[in-house]
Amino acid sequence: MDDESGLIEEARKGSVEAFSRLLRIHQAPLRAFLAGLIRDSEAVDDVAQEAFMGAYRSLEAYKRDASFRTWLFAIARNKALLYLRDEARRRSQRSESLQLAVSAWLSEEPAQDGSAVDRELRLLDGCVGKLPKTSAALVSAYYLDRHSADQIAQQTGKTEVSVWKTLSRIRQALRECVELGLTAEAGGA
Amino acid sequence: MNRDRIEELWSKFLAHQDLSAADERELLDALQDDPALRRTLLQEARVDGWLRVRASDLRDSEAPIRRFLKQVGAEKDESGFIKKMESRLATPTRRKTARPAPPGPSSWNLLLAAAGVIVGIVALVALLSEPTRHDAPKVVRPTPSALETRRVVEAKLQEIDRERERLTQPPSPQEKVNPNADIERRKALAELDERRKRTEQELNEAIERATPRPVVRTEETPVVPEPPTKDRTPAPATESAVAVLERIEGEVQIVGKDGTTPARAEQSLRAGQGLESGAKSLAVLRYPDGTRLEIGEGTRLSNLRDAAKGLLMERGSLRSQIAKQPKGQPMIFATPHGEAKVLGTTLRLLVDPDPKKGSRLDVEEGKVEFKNLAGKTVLVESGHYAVAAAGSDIVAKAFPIEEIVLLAASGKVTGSEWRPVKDDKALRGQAWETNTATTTGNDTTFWKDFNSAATRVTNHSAAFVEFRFSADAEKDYIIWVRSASLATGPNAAYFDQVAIEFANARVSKTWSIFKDNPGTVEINGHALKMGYWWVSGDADTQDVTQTRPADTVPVTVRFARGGTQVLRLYSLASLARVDAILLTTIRKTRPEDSFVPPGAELK
Repeated sequence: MDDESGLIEEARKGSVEAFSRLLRIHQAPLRAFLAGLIRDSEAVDDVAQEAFMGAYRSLEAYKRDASFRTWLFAIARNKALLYLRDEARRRSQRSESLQLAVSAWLSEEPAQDGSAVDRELRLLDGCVGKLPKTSAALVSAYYLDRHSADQIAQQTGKTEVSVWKTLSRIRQALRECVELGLTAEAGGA
Repeated sequence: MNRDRIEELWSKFLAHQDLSAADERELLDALQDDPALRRTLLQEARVDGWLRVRASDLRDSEAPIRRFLKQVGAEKDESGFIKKMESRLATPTRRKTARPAPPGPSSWNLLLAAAGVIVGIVALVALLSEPTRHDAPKVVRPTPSALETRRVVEAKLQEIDRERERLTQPPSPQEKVNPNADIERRKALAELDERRKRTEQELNEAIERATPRPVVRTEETPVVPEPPTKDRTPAPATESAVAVLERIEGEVQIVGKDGTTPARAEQSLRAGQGLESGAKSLAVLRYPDGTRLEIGEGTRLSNLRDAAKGLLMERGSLRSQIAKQPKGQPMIFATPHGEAKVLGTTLRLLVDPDPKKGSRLDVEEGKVEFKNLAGKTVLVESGHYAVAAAGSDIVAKAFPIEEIVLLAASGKVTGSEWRPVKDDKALRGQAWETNTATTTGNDTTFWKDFNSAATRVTNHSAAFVEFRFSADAEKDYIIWVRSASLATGPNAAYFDQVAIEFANARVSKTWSIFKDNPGTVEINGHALKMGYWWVSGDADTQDVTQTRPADTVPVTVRFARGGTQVLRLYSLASLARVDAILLTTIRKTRPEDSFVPPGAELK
């Protein structure tokens, strides 16, 4: 059975492969959802892993009154909030007030469910595709090829400060583009 | 404030660049002073996170799945796992490999094309999409030891991981981008992923076969005796590798018999060795079975053991996720004040060198036996903690309760002044509505109704919605009530008043109308703006020139005893909806209108 409920049934019977296939469906949106709450990429992957393991261990407790994705996202959100709480505690011990404040603000951001994340990711993909060529090249060099701002500055003949500012504006433009898309969809609905 | 400057600093902050103390201060001040800017930048952080996830998926979308499979494999019973593994490797069958993950979204390919690196990705996608190829069936030498077999496969996986890490290292600052080299690198990565998938698949199938299936035992079913436990005699203490340092930050030292040496990531720790972390430092240790220890700053561990896994923790803090341990062989954390025996759980351990402060164990999941030096043992369950310290008894207690969220669905109504309503704008789509007033009233009729309602609250004859919950004693909880006024017109500000009464409690502010009940608080002022928002106490001073809520000092409540508490929500001649009440020691300032408290996010 390839459909999701079939995979859930198989996973409940003990199939690790079936659960892995469920994760293939949901891991990217889930990590994107966590990335909206947690800044550190490594921590995003760690918390995602904790959520996957938590879901795997408690699959028996999953009731079908909510979708699997909603259930998985709820587990992930709880893990993320625990992480942010610990992070805040660690930061407060180190007097890192900026980190502390940002963690607190992020934890207060409105929660999103799986379908909202899907919608925003889909819109983001569309927005990325519409970026001007130079912005697209910068996003690719920075995120995909993981060049530092310093390297990009050297290769493009710009200052590092200019690269930082440009990256910030591209991200803001992408966010605006996503919000416009959401508004348009809401209007059309 | 210079917007350019803030964008530069924020960009660096998102990239984990070191900011000077002055830069941090500047950025923090800007974020605190300008809520609109803060919102924009937090949204930008979300986009940054998404882009990182999308990019990492394009590089290797299977990585999270591999990590999951690795941990699941590690958590299986070792002997059963190895037996199944051996059986699998000795039976050369052809099996379908996992379907490759789909390539990244098309718009990203467009982006890559714009950046001039599309060729590499196309090659990657093409390689990933090729029909499955398999190595020739493996020939296993007769009866290899199970441990050897497992080591061979794991070594193969480690070798692949090392190669992948080398290929995915970010280029050095001096290195220029070379498109040809980039294409080669991506091809090599794709081939590596294929190799890993094949090896992983072998592990995956073996894991699956080793997964215990539910057994329904009837009276007729003979009880199968358990096989004898595997001999886990420890190897000589100085030779065996116990765990690997997965990650280090700051100053971390390996402690051995001959003193300390600086630690490095990926380094193996041998039996008998220990670990010491300095200030602002941390380390992550991973055991072969998937057990993971996150070691906080100022921590000293010694005498790591392999068989009958364990260690001595002299001081500091750690958080651990412990894989299921073999029956009868718990992992043991010894401290100067006691020891914790763990069979598989998530816990935290904090050890203070001061014997009177002792060792504190927090259990997030599972159960842990915790014993003090006097030999007394307590079972610490999920959501509880215990302290082993000189001069005090060891007792398991529930975690302190810092925040309580009461949603409409958990309230029970008595009388006819409140009714449950569905409301898309309310948390979880539900609220309690009261319509015990009309906006056609004037000053005289309103105050008459109000005083009558207040009297009914005082003499307990009013209708109410009751909530029951657990809270700690002798702790100041800030009261935030999320409500929306339904009143309109010039007198709307009158008709938004409700009261909350706590049993066996005292609130920090008293109202003359409730002077005989120190546990009752008036909540007023939701009419100041439209929609649901959070109020604590009297936000509306009824001054027509008021533009900001006046409840700048939130009202708190303190319960006389811990455990179950009772809260009653009353109407004071109001037209309002209440969808949530938050009691918190954490949120000392008004939550944003859009704030959704933990647990309230699901519909």
